Order: sequence, then structure tokens, then C-alpha cells
Amino acid sequence: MKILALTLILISATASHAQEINMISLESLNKLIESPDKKLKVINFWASWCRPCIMEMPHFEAIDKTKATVYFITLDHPQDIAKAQRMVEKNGIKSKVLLLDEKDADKYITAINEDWSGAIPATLFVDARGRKYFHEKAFDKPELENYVKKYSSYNK
Amino acid sequence: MKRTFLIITGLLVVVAILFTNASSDEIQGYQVGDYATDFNLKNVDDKMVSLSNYPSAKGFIVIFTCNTCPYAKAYEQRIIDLHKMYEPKGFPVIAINPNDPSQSAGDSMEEMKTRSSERNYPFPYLRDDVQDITAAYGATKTPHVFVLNKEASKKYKVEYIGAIDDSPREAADASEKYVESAVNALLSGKKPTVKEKRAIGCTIKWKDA
Repeated sequence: MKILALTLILISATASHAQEINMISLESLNKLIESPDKKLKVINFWASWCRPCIMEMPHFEAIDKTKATVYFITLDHPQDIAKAQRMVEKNGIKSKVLLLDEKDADKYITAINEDWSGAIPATLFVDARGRKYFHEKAFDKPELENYVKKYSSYNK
Repeated sequence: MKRTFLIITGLLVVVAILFTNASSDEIQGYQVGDYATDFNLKNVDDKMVSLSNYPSAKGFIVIFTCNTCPYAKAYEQRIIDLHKMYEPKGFPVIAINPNDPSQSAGDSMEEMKTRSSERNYPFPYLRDDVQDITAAYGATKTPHVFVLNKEASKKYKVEYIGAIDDSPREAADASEKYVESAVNALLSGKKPTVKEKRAIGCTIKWKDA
């Protein structure tokens, strides 16, 4: 019996190595954005069909986690969650990945940032003081590192 | 005298810097109610197309779209249907591909010709090589729609900006057809009730500055 339990624990531990994408409501996403944090939050909006989004994913995954917490929010249709899941596995993403469960695009785009036209990739940085910086563009690695360095220094 | 001159010059420089910074951060472009510029862009049949080529049109459905964006492709048939439905009523679709082919090879004029003939586009499919029309309209993504109403003065007033409908994935799931509603309102002499709706789309591939 003990052995069985141990085996089960081991199996589940190996299986959980690829993360499952969970759904997040717009309300919870707003809470995540607004919740106070001593660290910079980097919230990247992407979709499995968006090539420039997939190309910049590794740059976000490579961010120094002592400086910032990275969240990947996929805007894929809930029916396409498996496609998003494949991209997460292919790129070995360990940071939290969530699928935004809100049908009304106009509602969430304007709620997340008034300046966002809806083009992706797009990234919201929230510094330790709660100030927000929105970038509707694709990043290369050095550019992203520079922004992380800059925004993570704003902590007072 | 010399000092006053220096101070004034200094102030002007400061104002110029502030102004440049302010404008480079914001996305410029049309708001609903603005007048849109006409253009003269090359079509897939190698002829130039302008809004002024359509003397009998009551308005236009100008759509910035492309060959390569999955969202634009998802809307392709709906764009064809919009033209078939509204061109006879005086609101033709004019499609403009804004993407720089050096960054998106699939959006070259040759590729546009192939795509539009394969799919029998019934509307012009133009290339904005200089990207100045795209910038003037303030298009930021594909697909991005601007519904224009031609006024008696032959000016083109922007009456709706944004999404085609509320269901990018499946045409059949659309519960709100924003462009149809806007054009229907204009055809009956009214203003659209929904003037702006944002949607997800692909970033426009701008030329390197």
C-alpha cells in the first residue's frame, strides 16, 4: 500500500513537470495587475497563432526572476487551449501561463490598458510602486532586458 | 539683446523636445468624426486606386488587412461577404495591405496577387508601400476597419473604427456585427450607435526607421 502511494506521488510529480494552463477571469486578472508586489510584474499577452509572440517568449522566460515575476496571458480561444499548451511545452515555459476567459475583446482590451489597440504581442509592466507601463510591440532580448532593468529599479 | 535671443532659442529648443517626445509616444491617427484623406495606391491589377475613382459611392469600408495574419485570414471570407453585400448599396470594401514585405515576405505584391486571385477578391487589394496612409489613418493591426461616409462636400468622414464583429474565430458565433450595423445606420441616414470596438489583431510590420 505504502509503495503504491509512493509510486503515485512519483508519477504525479513527473507528470506535473509540464504545467497545465489555467483559465483566468478578467476580474482576477485585474486583481493580479493591481495587487501590491515588492517585485516588478511583467505580464505578456500572446496567442498560439501569433508568430512574433512565440518568437519573443524565450526572452520573457529568461528574465531574471529575482528582478521580476513573469506571467504569460494567452488570448487564444478557450477551444484552442491545446494549441497554447503545445507552445508552452515547446518553449519550456516555467513561468505562470493563464488563458483569459473573457469573450468580449473590446471589454478586456480597454480594461487592461486604454492605450492598447488590440495588436499583439503586447506587454504590461507593473513596477513595485504599482505604476504601469504598456508596450504594444514585440521585443528583442536586449530591449526587454533594458526595460526590466529600468522598471525593476523603480521601487520607492 | 544677445542674452534675450539665447533665452528664447533655449526655450524654443525645450518646447521642440517636449513636443517631439509627446508625439512619438502616442499613436497618431483618426478618431471617429475626423475627415479621412484620399489616397492613390497600387492595386493587385497594377492600376492605381483612389477613393475619388468611385463617384457614385456613398462611402467606403476601408480595411487594413494582409495575407499572413491568422486573424486576418479568419476574417477573409467575411470581408468578401461585406463587399458583396454593401458594394451594390454604395459602400464598397477597399482592402489595404500595410505590411513591409522585407519583414513579412508573404505580404509582397506578388503574394497579394496570388492570394487575391485564388480567393477571387471582388474588391481592390492595395499595397501601402510608403506606409504613410496606414500612419495617417492610425491603423495599428490587421484586420483594422475604418468605415467612411462620403459627405455632400466630397469629404470622407470617419464614422466607425475597429473590429468587424465580436467573433474572430467563427463567423457563425458572431452576435454583434459592428461594421454591418455601422453601414446599415449610415445607409438609413443615421449615425452608427457603436462607433468604436477594439479587437485582437496582428501588429503591423513597419519599415525599420
